[in-house]
Amino acid sequence: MGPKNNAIELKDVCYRAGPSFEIRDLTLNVPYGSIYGFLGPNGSGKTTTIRLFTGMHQATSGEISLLGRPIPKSAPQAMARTGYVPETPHLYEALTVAESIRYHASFFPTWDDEWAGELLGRMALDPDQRVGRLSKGETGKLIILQALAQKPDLLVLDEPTDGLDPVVRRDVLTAILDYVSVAGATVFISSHLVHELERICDWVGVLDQGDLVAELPMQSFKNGIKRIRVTDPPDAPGDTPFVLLSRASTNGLASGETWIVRGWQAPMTQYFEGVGATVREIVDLDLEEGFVELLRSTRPNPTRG
Amino acid sequence: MFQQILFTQWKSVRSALIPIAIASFGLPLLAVQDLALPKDLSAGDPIRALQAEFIFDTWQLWLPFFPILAAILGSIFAINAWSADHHAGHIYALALPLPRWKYVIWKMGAGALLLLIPVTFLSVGSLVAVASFDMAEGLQGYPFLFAQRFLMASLLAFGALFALASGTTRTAVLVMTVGLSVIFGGQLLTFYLSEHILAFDWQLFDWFGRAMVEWPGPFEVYFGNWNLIDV
Repeated sequence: MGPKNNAIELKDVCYRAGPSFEIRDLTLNVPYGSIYGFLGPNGSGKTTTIRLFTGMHQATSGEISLLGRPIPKSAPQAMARTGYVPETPHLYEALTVAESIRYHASFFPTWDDEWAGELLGRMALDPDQRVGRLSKGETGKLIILQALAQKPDLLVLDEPTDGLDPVVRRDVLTAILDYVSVAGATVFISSHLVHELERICDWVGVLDQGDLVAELPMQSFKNGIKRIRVTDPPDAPGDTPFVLLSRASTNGLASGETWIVRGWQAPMTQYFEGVGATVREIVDLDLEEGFVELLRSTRPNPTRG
Repeated sequence: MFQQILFTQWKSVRSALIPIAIASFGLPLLAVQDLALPKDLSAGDPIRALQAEFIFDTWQLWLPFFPILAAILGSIFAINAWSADHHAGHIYALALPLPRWKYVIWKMGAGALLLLIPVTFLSVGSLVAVASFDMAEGLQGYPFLFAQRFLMASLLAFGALFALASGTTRTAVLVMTVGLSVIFGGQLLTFYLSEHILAFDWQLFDWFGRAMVEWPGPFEVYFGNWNLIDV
């Protein structure tokens, strides 16, 4: 996929955040118009990656482009078209909600006052309330409002619903999806709340310990990871047409095993027939199960004593 | 944009600004309250000649308050300018669509502009103070020079702390540590040399202190002439 098709593009990016954490040769492509879910456990490097492609951190090597502009050189121009919701709230507590909106608006030439007013009403925020006195949910809504009312081509959301109650979370996600459906913007949403992303994303990238372990359309991710119950499995699987993520013996079945596989397609049952095994059951894994299995398979096994 | 940055700083510093503005206005008035000559004094009365000495002695008691007030003022404004950014790890500022240097310049400009409020209060207080009593011949009030020195002193504190606070806490600690290490290390070295080499009679602390507080050192403004009334 060429750079013209990607809103965010990282190529062989390296960055060292400290003695114990680094991003190694990270290559990531977020297609224009996609809702890209960026999954990873806490501490996997999601926020660092976001800070790299928004120009806040400088990569030690590699190439980054954001909305077709090189980063960090043209970060201000790219950020003028990017709505960014950071992990930590960043609002000025001394200001009121209305003042905070005015402050933010002054930096963005594409700001839409009318729509900001509409969002203010929809999100039930009091314009005269002091920001320092807002609840966590209200603060979250205000930050989303500010990001949306600047009419961005790209929304970058770093754990936008973390710590919010289900009602506020739904309001926030609805507002984002409404905007995307109207404006056709690209959304990059980082989260460790897997269920949340499963419903809204059409692309998924999985980061673990600074490595991108998977990047593919959501449908492929969900369809391609299966749990298969097998009887009489071979001791050595040999050349499999799928990726075997894990295998474990199944309780209650003397000669049975449960295999977790990736890249599964229906005709692949022939493989089992060829090795003398029988497929008992094929189960679709949801995103969370797939995510957990994927991480389990990509991490080195602990040495057993 | 600048207007919004100015407004934001004003809103967060205004609770501290009010008592500082009152102090800036009131201090010069308090300092001169006992300096007036008796009303029935004749033109040739020798007491008039003693007024200058009396003013000088009294002023010495009040003098330290002004540079201290200026330093406090500058420090509060500098810390205020960056406190919200520090709170969120400077992420908001870095995500804004403008170069970092521009953001820093506007923030600094806004803080410096707000400093003019207490300085204006001090100027008015000094003017009223000077006009409030009869001065013996040869004595003169310098309210604007006095206010100018106050402005320079507060700007210096503001600028130094603003620069230090504009980075992360780690950077600030690093800068302070390196600076203090160089000074103390240098002092230890010069002390060692002066103890062991007879001809060596130079101490870093003495030299550094003088370089900082004597003209043209940067902190001369705190230790120079702070006289509101002078010959």
